[in-house]
Amino acid sequence: MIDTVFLNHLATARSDAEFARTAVGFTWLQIYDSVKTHGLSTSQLDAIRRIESDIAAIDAAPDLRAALEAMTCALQYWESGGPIRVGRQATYTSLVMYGEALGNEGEWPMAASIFALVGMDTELDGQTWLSAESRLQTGRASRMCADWEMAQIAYRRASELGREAGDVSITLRAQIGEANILWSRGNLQTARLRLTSIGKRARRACPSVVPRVTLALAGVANTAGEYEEAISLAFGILDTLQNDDELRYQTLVDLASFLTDYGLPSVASDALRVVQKAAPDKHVRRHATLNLFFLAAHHEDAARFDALHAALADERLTARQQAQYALFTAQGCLRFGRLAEARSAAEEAIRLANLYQHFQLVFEAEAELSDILLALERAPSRASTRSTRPQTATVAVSDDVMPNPSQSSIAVDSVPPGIRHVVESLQMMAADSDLAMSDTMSTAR
Amino acid sequence: MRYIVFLAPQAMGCVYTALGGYGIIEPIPDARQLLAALAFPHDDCLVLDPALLTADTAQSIAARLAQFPRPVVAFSSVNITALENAVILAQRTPACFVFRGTANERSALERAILLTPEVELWTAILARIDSQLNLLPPAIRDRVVAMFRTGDGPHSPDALSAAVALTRRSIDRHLADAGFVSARRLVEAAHLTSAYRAITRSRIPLTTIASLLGYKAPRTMDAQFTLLLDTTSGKLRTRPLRIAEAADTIAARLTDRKPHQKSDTSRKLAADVKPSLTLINGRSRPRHVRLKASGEPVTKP
Repeated sequence: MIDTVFLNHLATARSDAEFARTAVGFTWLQIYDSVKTHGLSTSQLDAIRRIESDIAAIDAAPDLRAALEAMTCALQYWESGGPIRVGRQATYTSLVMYGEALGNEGEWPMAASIFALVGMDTELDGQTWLSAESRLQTGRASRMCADWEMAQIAYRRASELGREAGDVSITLRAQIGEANILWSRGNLQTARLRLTSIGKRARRACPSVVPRVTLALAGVANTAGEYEEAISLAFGILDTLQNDDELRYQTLVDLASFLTDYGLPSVASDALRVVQKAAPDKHVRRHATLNLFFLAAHHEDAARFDALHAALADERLTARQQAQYALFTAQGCLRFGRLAEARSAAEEAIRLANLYQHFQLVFEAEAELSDILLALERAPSRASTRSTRPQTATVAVSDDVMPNPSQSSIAVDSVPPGIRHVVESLQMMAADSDLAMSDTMSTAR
Repeated sequence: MRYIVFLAPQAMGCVYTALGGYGIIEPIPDARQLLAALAFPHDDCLVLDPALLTADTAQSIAARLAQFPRPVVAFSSVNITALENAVILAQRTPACFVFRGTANERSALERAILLTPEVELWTAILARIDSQLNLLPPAIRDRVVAMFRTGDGPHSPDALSAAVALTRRSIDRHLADAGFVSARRLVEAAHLTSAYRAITRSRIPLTTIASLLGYKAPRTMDAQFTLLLDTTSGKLRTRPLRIAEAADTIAARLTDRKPHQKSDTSRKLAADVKPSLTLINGRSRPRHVRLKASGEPVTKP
């Protein structure tokens, strides 16, 4: 399976750089397979050294490069360390790193195949903890590929292996993942019951997982249309996440999505601005910027839309993000009456989404294009017409760009006191992060 | 429990978080001071990053640890320097390795540093089961020894058989031939050895220890403790056993093959009870009559 996924990717590579990056990973996997079967030989060591020089020449994100370097380095020690098998352990760890780096680049099918490979190999090698970790990641990657069955199988196995390895955190996270699959597929009632039960167990055995359960419950509430509940739950855990950057910014992105669905896109922008300014991880910042661009396309003025458009043009976007970028550009341009620009952006979105088989985006871009063509026929009298076609349903928001713009915004004055407190706090956080950013820039000058 | 920590500053935070206040951390600024700290016998645990060592320092550390053994946890990124030194430590010390770079590395580190095996205990157990270990194929023997030394490794009999590339049936046969009770009991004994220090010398909640060992509940852990050590974890905490006594009991339970014992006992019983089953007038008892007291058949079918 791994061969097919990598070969498919090589066949659709957008650039020489992307082809070279994928080819290095694929070549490494061939050598790994050979070393695993036949042991290390001189010819394989030579091949590993050749890959080392290839890695130095490719254009890759820092985490992807670090993972590839770790892989080549670790494989040379495959048979070292005696019964403790330190070389194998290092190789498996670097493979997990590679899968995570691919996921950060949005290459989920490749990531899923890597995690599945490590999960199987580590289990066959008796490395229970690494196997549990890989299965957990397989679940996430498969979920991102909408392969629900594979995700469920992987999460179940991760849960069992996590318990066996004595890692309650992996066990509970795998169970949360399984519950997330349930609500992603519309089974809200069972998902809620299961998450409540996981929450009880987490409070007893592993309090660090409790915020993840709460965030998942907020996702269920949002999908059920209980927006205020979702907002309160997500905002309620922010204070407990001061030392957990990953979950803190994930929560803010999810909160922004809930606020958008509720009808407060400007407040959602505040939450996303905090992420865009303060998140230490570049992928998270880029993700927030793309979400901000989406909100600007649907709710804000042309100047803000153009500024974000320009900012994202310089970013290194993943294939999916490029298609989303083109789609949001088309949506924004249509709203601001720039129909020719909107048309070419929609066509580009269709081309990119087709190329990388993101069919949901293809449907959305085609619908957008038909709106644009309709507007062009009526132009110039009704240039900025929008159709009232229904929007797509939400998915796991922190893993993707917000797909669900609210049809109408609501006034902040009309919201209940609890939500108003959330609004004010987020506005303060956004102002603080703007201030911190301007301080940093003035210090740099 | 006390921890000598030789790590880069950013990794130090991970140790503090993983330890969660259940131990005293003594940071060591350089390799020279690290070697000095290892020059005395002590039961503290060493946490180090092999990437911060030179090959010579790694060799010196291995020599010091051979002289004054103590638990070792190596916490490092995957790079050439780290791996070169990790190989030295893996071959010559009882180090447990946690590589950085995975999403849940913190929980792997937590298990490694909270459940550091009791050096005296594993040394004593291995000495007592040495003759049985020598009857095992090298791959199984090395793996079992590594399990006791590092407190890490296969967490179940299935994982143990996978690690030595044998089927469960084969590994059980090899173990039985060597005089061990079962693969499961060996894995459980390795678990107990890795938890012994945390139970007897720390205040880490027993529920936490049970969950770190992969037991669903402390009750399950206690069942294993009773089986291997004739005591529960709670009793062990309040009244720790002498190492020699604990090692004797565990070694006996590892090699005490019930079926053999049963058949020996039954044979003896049969011999003992035979006269009482002989009828007064000298005629032997009918074959279908069984001795109800032990449940063992008196006559062979």
